[in-house]
Amino acid sequence: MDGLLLISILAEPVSAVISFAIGYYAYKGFRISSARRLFLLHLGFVILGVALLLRFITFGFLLSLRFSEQNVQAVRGIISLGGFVFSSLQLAAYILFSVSYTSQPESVDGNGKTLAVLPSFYLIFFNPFLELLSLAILGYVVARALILFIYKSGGNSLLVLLGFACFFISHLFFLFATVDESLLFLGQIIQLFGFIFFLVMLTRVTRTG
Amino acid sequence: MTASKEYRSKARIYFDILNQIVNEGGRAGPTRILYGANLSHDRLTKHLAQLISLGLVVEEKEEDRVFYCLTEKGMAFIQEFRRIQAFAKAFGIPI
Repeated sequence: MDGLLLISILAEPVSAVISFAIGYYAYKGFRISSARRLFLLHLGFVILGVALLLRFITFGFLLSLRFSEQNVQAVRGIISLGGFVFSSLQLAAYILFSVSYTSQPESVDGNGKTLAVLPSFYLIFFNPFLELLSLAILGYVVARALILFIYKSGGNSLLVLLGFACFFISHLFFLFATVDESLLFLGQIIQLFGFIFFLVMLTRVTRTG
Repeated sequence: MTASKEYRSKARIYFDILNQIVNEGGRAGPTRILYGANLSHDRLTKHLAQLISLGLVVEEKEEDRVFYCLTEKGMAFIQEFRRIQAFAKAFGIPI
């Protein structure tokens, strides 16, 4: 579990950096073309990046405090609130993606006690209701991306479709994380794969011309 | 029967003009640009004046004829526009 946990924690800042890179490129596109949908895409990826980064920083900070199980229970409400804020930010990003389609850790030292507390502590960040909402919105975004790919089959459209599909699957795993905690880490890794698909698309695009 | 008229952004029009100049070998007369970029004479004159002021195009006079040549900045704009276009197309966003 430790290795998986470490990868899933590190996946968040990496995903955030990729998200900011895509957001930056969308903004560049907006400045040149004045296309409003590119601005919505920019806002969506920047908000998603901020949400991922905030969760990583907050989690890293709480981890550095080396909470015992009792202490975690004491600040559970605050973590829940933080989780609600992060999930809401993610949700806002997904809404922006859907609108753009519609308008046409801190170092882990291997301390067993700390790690034993981690899964349940990390799980509080995820709000099932907001995960369900994210799933519904992402389902719509994936459907639109699929239609786009079918009609305008292109390598970059396929990469965008795969990226959003990974986001969708990751939220499906987050939703069922209360049943099996390993799904949470698996979800993080799948989400990272989603960002990697976007990064490949961005790399292909920047080689154009 | 009404024909649907596709909206072209200012950047798209600039790209079409510059791309037409590239297709003509980096130097083209107004008539060739006019047909290639699908613009009226008045609109072309207005856009060319803006492209010159932006340093994307330079005007060259040869006897009584006028030619428009692409600058390095103009070439860089075309390349950047193509990248942005590929990016936007991946998300189904027309520009």
